[in-house]
Formats: sequence, C-alpha cells, structure tokens
Amino acid sequence: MLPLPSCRVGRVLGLVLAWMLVGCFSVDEAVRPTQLSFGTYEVDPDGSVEDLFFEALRLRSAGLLGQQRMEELQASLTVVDDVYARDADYDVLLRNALLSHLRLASSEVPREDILALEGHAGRAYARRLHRVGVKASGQYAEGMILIAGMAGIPTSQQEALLMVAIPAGGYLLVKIGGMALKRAAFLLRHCKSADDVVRSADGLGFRVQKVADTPSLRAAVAREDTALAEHFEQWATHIPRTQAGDPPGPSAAPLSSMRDVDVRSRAPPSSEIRSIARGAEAYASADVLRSRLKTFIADQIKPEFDEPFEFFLHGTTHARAVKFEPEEGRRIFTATDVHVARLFAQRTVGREGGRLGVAVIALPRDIADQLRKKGVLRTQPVPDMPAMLETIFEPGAVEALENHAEIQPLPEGFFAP
Amino acid sequence: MKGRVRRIRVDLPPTNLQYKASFTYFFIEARWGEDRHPWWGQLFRFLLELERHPDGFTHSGVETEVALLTGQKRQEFLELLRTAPESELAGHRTLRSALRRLPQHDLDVPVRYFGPQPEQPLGD
Repeated sequence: MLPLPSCRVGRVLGLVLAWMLVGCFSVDEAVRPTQLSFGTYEVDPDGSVEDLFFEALRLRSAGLLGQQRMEELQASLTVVDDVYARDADYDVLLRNALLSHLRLASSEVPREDILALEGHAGRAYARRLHRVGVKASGQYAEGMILIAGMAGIPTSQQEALLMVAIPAGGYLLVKIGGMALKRAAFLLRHCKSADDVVRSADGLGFRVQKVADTPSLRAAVAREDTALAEHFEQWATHIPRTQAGDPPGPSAAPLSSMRDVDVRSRAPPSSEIRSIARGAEAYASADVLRSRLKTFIADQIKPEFDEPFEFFLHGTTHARAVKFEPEEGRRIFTATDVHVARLFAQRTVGREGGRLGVAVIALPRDIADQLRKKGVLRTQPVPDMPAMLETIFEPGAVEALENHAEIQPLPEGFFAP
Repeated sequence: MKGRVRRIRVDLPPTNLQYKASFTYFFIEARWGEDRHPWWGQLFRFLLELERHPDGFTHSGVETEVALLTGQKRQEFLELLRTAPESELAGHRTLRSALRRLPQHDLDVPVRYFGPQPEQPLGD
C-alpha cells in the first residue's frame, strides 16, 4: 500500500481506483438494503474481460485470491488462448474462465472473513448513504499498480507509464499508448518481469526508453504528464527496483524476480470479499455449459492434437450418442455453440424420449478446411431459427471423419443443473 | 446378427479417468482389408472373434452387437495394433491414439459391431 496525499497526482491516480473500486465510492440513489449483499462493491458479471481480470488482480493483491488460484486462472486463460483464440466466442470463453475462478475463489475465502462480511453489510449500507452527493473520485485514489514488477501509473484514460529502477543506475520507462492501463494489465498477463514487458513492447506498440538517472526520469515523465512530474518526489520513491545483479536494459536476460502482475489498493477487505461473492453470483448465472465444455475440450480433446483443430457438437439423445456411427449416405447435423447443440438434442429427445446426449467431433483445422472446399462441410443458419448456426457434415465426409476425427460422447450428466 | 458386420467401433477409454464414461470412437470398416491394407482385415477378423452379445438397433435400423476386450484378449489386441504398417499409422489419427492410450491403463475396452445399413433417406 502506498500512501499518497490527496492532490493533483491523487486525481491522476484516481483514474486507477475509479476503475478498481468501481461502485465502491460512487453514488447510486437506487441502492436498497436488499441489494447490499452484492450491490455495493460489485464486479459487473457482464463486465469486459479486462474488468474481470483486473478484479482478479485486485483480489489477489488484497490476499483474497491465493497464488495457486491465480496461477490456475492464468493457466485457464492460456488454454483458452491456445484452443479458442480464433473462435468467435473467444472473449466469452475468457470471461467464463475468469468468472469460474472468481467462483472458486469465493469458496476459498476463510470462514472468519465471511462472517466479517456478514457483519459489515449494515455498516456498509449506512456509509454508502452518508456518501450520497459526495463526489468521491480521487479521495481514495491512493495507490499504484504494479505490473510485472514495474510501477504503472495512468497519465490519461488511454495512456500510462510503466517504470522500474535498474540496480546499475537509471530507470526503464515504458510508454503505453492507445489503451487503458487495465487493458495493458490484461495483455501483459504472461509477463513475469520487466524484461518480459520489454520483449512484449514492440508487438503491443509500447515505447521503451532507458533514462540515466532520476532527473532524466522526471524530465521524461514531465513530457508525458506535467501534473505527475510536479509531484515526482511523492511517488518516485515507490518505483520498484529490479533485483541486484540483474543485467540492466531492454536486451538483458530475464530478471530473476518472479513478481506477477500486482495491484495495490486501499479498499477495505470487506469490499474485496464482497467482490468475490459477486463473482460467485455472476458465475452461477453465467454460462456454465460453455465452461464445462471448455474444460472437457481442454482435458479430453486438445491433448490428442498437436495442430490447430476445430470441434463440432452433434446434439442427439444419449442413446444415439452411445451408438453413434458416421453412416454412409446420411448427414450429420452439428453446431459449434453448445446451446444450439443442446437445442438439437432436446428436439430429438422430444421426438424419441430419453436423455440429452452429444457426440463431440474434433478435426484438424486443415482437414476441416479441405472438407469445406469440397463442399461436404458447411455452416448455415438453422432453417427455423436463423439467429443460430448449424454445421452439416455431408455424406462425403464420412471417410475423413473415420480417418482424422476425434469423436467422443460428452459424459452423462453434462447438461445436469 | 442378420448379415455381415459392416463396421466395428472400438471405444477407447480416456486417459483422464475423470471422464471414464466418455470414450474415443475408433472405427474400423470391413472393406478396409481390401481397400487399404490387409492388416485392417486381420484386425477386423480378430475383433469378430470376440464373444459378442446382441445390443438392439440404432435409430436408423442398424443391428448392433457388443463385446468387451479384457485381459489376454485386450493384450493381444494391443500387440496387433503394434504391428500396424507405417502407411496406415500415418493416415489414421485414432489408430495412433489407440496405440498411445491403451498402454496407459488396463481398463476394459468396449467394442461395438454394426450390421448392414438399411436404405435411408438423407437427414438425421
């Protein structure tokens, strides 16, 4: 936690906390006591990927999302990156992964913190009423974001600076332009060190410079943000330093520091716990089926492929899925959206009875492309539900399915509540 | 079964036992022994010799039977897979998958037999 006085720099830094503490100090006339349990310090379940990722960072910083949970969250995002990066619902899957880990984090909150949260609800409501009409932005804007061991300070809504001191003297300065710091934090989520940030800088359009000493840093900052430079002494002492012995500069070997993205805030623990609870609620109403499918694909299908692949879901009855075979002369109707596949399955169950079933058909992407070119794999709107898409394997695709497809039924109970 | 077995499906158990009710379907066609390589015919005949039991019909009227690869027969099946010609290994993903998966556990391997296909119109 980095105490800074309320002043202009506080207003600058206020941008950070305005995001980080969204809802925390803003005024909402519509608040009702019954909404308190999740309404005061909430993470928006419909929030962007960046919002949710930032929320996870904030919770981790507050000690309410452990290192292991954070690592598993990062691993989940990596799986989504690897498997779904080219899919239309890539962002949805990233959000689901984040919400899933927020839910898991909620179950990991120590019982004493939960009790403290319950006791805090009434006081939080009273405090919030007290703040009606008070412009709170900036008042609590005391903090600094640490990304991969570098201090991150926004200089506007679309620009920010990352800074780290080098043991041999001088500083490394990374100018982030064209995106909010929250977005930058998300994009830099794989970075463990300043070197990682520097290596990623080119691809992200960040500008890296090395300055020789503190006056040079002040001058460089002044060129970006005069107000920030005026209060240089107040925050410059908090710039972290790479570990001694680490080679300096953009071309240096990876730093030994394994500090992850970190966020420091002064939000009270109760608000952080409430955030977790909100994440849990959001997950409950979020897309559980997609999340389950993502896990199944990652565990069961992806390990079978060294190359990019696509998967298709043949919704049917469980009995049909068990006796599935790609039959000569017959089409196979599939969908890439699990909800459309479920709809197909429900229709079949409606005709024949039984339970919902799905056969997952995964193909190497180049094979799928070849089938498309041959005209035996095609996607079209569902005739009576044009907002949804179906993908049809024509009879000519049977041999390719037998030779190249990984076909597995989804486990029983997949669609259970 | 009325008529000859047209296709056999070997249900490869998962390596991740969290999904033990889910299998990867490994299809083998009767005609591959002639169309592709005699090795497929050898594999097909081996599977035909298992003790089979009737299992009704598919939704499209195909008669099915089931068997279970266990113990010594399972081991013999794996040995037979290991004799697969390079050309067939290269062209069949699930064959390679079977060779990788089966040695990783000793779970029984279900086998399903599909009889002749009745005439059917297009559609599911």
